[in-house]
Amino acid sequence: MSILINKETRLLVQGATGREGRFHSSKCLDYGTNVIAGVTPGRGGEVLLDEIPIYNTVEEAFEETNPNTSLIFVPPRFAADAIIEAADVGIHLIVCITEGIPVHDMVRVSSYLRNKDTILVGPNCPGVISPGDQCKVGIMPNDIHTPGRIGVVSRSGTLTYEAVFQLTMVGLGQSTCVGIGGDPVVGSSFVDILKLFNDDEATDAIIMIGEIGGSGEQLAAEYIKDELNKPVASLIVGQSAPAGRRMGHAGAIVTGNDALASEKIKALSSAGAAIIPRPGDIGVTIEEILKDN
Amino acid sequence: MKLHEYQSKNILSQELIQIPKGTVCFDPNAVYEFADTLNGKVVVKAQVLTGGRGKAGGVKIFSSSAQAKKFASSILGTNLVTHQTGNDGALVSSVLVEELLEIQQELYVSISIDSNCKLPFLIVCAAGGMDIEEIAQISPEQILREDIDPLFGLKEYQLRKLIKLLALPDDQSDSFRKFLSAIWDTFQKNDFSLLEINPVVITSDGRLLAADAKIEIDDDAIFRHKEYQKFDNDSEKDLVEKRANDLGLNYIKLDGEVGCVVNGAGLAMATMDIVNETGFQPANFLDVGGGADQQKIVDSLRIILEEKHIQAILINIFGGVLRCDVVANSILEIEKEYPNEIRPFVIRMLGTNSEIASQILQDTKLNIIMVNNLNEASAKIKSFLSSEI
Repeated sequence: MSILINKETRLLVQGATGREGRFHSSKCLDYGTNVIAGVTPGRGGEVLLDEIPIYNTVEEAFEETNPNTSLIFVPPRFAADAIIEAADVGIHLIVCITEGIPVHDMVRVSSYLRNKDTILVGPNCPGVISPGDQCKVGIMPNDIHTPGRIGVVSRSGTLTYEAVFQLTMVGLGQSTCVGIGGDPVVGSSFVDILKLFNDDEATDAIIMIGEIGGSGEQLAAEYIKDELNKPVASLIVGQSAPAGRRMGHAGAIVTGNDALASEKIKALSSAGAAIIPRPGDIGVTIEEILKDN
Repeated sequence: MKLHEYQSKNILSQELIQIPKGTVCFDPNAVYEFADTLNGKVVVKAQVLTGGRGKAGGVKIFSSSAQAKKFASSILGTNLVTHQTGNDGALVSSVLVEELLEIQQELYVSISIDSNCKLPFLIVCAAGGMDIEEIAQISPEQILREDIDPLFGLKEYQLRKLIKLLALPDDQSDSFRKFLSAIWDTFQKNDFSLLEINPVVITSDGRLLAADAKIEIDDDAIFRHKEYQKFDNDSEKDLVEKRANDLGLNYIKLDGEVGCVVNGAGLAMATMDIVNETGFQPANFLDVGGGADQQKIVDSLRIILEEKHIQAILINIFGGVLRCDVVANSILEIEKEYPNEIRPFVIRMLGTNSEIASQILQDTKLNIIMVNNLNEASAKIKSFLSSEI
């Protein structure tokens, strides 16, 4: 078991024939994901990597191949439309990798999805991987992950890989890793993913990696305190970041007290999460809380 | 991108929102000339991309053109230090000269985006002209908030509710309702991420104007607004930062002594924290990006090595699409360019081709210290820099 993706995942790739779409479609296939179709307007009828049929529209791809998950590599100016296109045919899970989508597009998309039965992960994220099911819907390196019982949720890509690597070093594998994305407005929040991990029988403990900007970590702290019944270890980065500057991610900016790393750490700590003191201590911290529980 | 007040007001006036009569001036003579058309009764406002101007002496009222000019000469070309700028302050390269308003009432209005609700929201407050954070502390009940459905816009009932709560005089209700609709339309149409008008002024002759304006445009949306691409608000940026950004690097200059080269924004922030835990400080934030090539790494290293106050370099790469051997080859290229470089390179490389990278770096004459994990990286940085002092 895992969250969001598994052996039943039937993956459609939007923007499949571009440089990134092609490269990562192939890596997802290598990992074992059931990639069943691609969409690139104007390229319908082509076959990608000798096995993935390309369609002009999501609707056509949906009718022919019945995907339940979509992975989006469409450029920023068309990405919001791509998300809506996938939601309109009823695709249940949409993972959007694209970085640089205008925030106004994302508030419109979020409002549009509000009453739909669609889960959006991202944008500006590395995606989702469930090593136990050999299923990857994203861009993370294949070989660092091992099957196991730790859930990972993070706003950052490379830092998620770092967490996975440190888990491997202490002999712990992952149930599912979810990158929720570094933009100010993203589909799934920390709380949304923590809820899924809470209900997932295959997850024993959770690593949550946050950063400066916004207050999603504080909402997560409330959830951890009130409802989560699994141990969490949390790392918050950006403690040494200057105020008012955007640290790479569009959402990583200190604009008020809540956005500070220290405030997030305070909230998570008083909610009962184990605070990972240094970025190099992810593995040992989770090891310790597993011993305690 | 943050806009200057005068740029913000230009956009608002194009959207039919009234602003005070005024002009931006880049030299004192222009200030004199314009002030003279208003009989010298003007307010002169330093144009800097930071808050706290008024308290820092950057905004002053005059009753003669000569005084206004004198103030402009004293402030143009200097650095204005406010509580938000740090000690260096922000360069004043222009001033906005405006008519004095006879104020009957001041209001606060802003729209920004709530990341948790994923919605734009409007804030209106009857106490304008004050610091909104202060009002939030003293009398939070005065701050009215309405979330905006971006697919529908501000609803009539929301406007009615706000007008009623503000208890505006009847003759102003209608113009304030139109004002709020107009600023929402402007906010959305122009891809603002923040619009703050503090204060909105109702004058004694019944005009309703945006007396100040603070706008931030979503950097990710500038591609669809040609008109903003001409704004060069980078002039206040640090020169090294500007050069790095022109090379396509995500670089922010900081005050410390350890230069950082990292892929990924989260790992870059973590790397800064690793340096911080040694008691020393990072000299920069740098995310070379997932798809970086050899040239980009070489550019990054050059920028860092040319900063003479940097005492050590920390390279932290999690190889994925960016392969570690590419990074290693960049370091060899740098060695050729800087054969006498003695500062230490603490290098942590993991992921794709990291073993090949170690082999590539085996024979270099540079002072390279390979480490296996983040804690080892900070320990090496600490021991090296401590022995230097």
